[in-house]
Amino acid sequence: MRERDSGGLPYLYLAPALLLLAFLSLLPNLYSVWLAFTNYSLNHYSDYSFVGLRNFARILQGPEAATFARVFAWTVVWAGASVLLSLGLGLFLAILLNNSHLKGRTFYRTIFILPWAIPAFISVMMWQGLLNTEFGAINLLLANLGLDQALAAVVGLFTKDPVATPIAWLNTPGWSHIAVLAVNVWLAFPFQLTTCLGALQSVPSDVYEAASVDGATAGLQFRRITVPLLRSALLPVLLSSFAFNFNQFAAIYLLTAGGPAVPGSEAGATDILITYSYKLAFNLFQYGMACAYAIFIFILVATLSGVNFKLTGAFEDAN
Amino acid sequence: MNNLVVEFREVTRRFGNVKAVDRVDLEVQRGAFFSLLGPSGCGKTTTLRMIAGFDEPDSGCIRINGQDVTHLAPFQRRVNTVFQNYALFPHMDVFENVAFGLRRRRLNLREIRSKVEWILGLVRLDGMGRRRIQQLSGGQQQRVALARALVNEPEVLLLDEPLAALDQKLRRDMQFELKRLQKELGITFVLVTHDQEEALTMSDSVAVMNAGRVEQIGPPRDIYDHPATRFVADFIGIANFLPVKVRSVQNGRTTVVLSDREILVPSRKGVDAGAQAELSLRPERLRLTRAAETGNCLPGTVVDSVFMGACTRFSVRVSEDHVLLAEQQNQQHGACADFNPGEPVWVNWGPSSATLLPLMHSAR
Repeated sequence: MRERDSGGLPYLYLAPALLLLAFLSLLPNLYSVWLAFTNYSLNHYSDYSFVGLRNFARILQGPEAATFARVFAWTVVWAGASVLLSLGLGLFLAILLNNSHLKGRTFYRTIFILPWAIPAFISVMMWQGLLNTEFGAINLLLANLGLDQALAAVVGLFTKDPVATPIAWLNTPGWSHIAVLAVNVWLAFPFQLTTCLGALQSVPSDVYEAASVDGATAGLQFRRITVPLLRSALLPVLLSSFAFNFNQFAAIYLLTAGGPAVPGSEAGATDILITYSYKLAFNLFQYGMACAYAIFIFILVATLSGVNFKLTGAFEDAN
Repeated sequence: MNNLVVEFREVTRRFGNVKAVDRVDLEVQRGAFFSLLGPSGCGKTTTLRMIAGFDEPDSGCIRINGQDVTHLAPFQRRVNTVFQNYALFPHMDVFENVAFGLRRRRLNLREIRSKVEWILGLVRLDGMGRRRIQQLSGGQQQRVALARALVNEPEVLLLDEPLAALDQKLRRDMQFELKRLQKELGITFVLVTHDQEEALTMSDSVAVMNAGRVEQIGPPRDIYDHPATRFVADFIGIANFLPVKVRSVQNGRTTVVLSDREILVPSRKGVDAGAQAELSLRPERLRLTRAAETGNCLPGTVVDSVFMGACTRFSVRVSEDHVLLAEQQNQQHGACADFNPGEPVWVNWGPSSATLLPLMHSAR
């Protein structure tokens, strides 16, 4: 077909989408980059000015540096533990579900996918109710089973202070870390389960038969065949879900709002970088600082994604 | 101990209501190249999987080397399998794939290395040990699969449609390759195939299966020349079928009536005088002539002719309902193979060239 001179018509067609993108994504992002270099805050609401790298310097030195270090460390632990625990649970369940001798596989699969299907906002609110200190079903259950005292006693062995019952899941440092992690694992494991199940099912059954002919036991088949074959499929997923959990705003903000409070710091015990940045902007009105944090987060996640793309590309090469 | 490597006694395997394998008896001679031939769904793969131990029969008994292995696990039998899709371990290189079974047997590294090198040489993959599976062509992967199975020195090598994924030329080469390996190693091969040509050219013995039953077992020549059932005659090669009425049976010769003409055919057990039967005629055994000859013959009219290179295939109408296919060799000065459509001809064949098939049996 002969190429026709269409003039600027294609650009006209694209214009609505491009304008929308520009106003909704490009301009706000550029604006926040600009704000990161200003002192825009409640104190300088109408007279803010360019301050160079001062916001970044504040994050890395002085009193704010300790907060940054603590929040950053917890963010990494949070994301890492979320990924490993949800993957562990997902892989375990996937192996069970992949066994053709299991009756009612479809039923279980449906049940296990549900946490993924329910909007996270709703289920996190639900968990907040379940974890309520006085009226929550979890404490009620523990008390009725007589497990709350036992749990407190066991944990009390490792802490200086005795553990109070009923357990204040969302208001005590330590317990609140455990609570947000548990809820996040509950939110995240269906995705890992689905990924693992897909990877497991892509291994043809005759490969296992071939191994069994040569006398490989079930354990050996898992170690020598399943794990190596899953590794290449799961590594990119691991990295991207780490990046996702790094910015898992909803689970933290809706469950504990970053709390409980830590004396002497604006950031609460369970605040991760993204919720802390939100707090800085919309509770403390330090827009410049919030934007500087946002840029930090962007750099960290972008690096991680870069590594991921590189690795994924390398896999394609090898195959 | 007798000379049978694999024995099936009344083996049945059901999947739900379907009998995938139905009271099958089989005997495979030591050192034979044995084929299980049949259309898809005939139970040949299920049969193979039961020899391998991937599947257990619902009833009946399977013996390997005289030992009852019906309920033994795959690795407890001296049997190895080459899978249709090769089932190679994609994350291991060629050497590790082949060495997998040897490592399970805890041989030391020197032994493993020498065995792997020996078998890779035998399947003509010398020096390819460190290649990744994805770098190999289909034919090479096939050889790795063979090497992986053979390196364990099984009594019986099972091959599940091993050549189905290869192109025509490669398939021919691999047929020779398999035959050579089998002769060189003296191992019993059991091949599953739906390709009758493959079964006929490679095997010492063929079992033709249909709907879970073995229709006939025998050397390729027997199966082709003396099919036991209509199914076998139809599945192997091309056959013309004509309904006949049996007039008399005498001295191993049976006289049947076909379109009011008396025809002599070899006798068949169970087909007695007065019975309705069916005649199976191979197209290449039919001779077309312009003039009537003595012996078995039928008049007809040429309907169509197709040039096929070495021969020409004529369609000859011999009655209202029956058109026979007859293949005539193309000689250099093609005297015999130039009949034109519409031309009246005689179809002739020798008394031993036809097979009489009992009607009831085929309608089973």
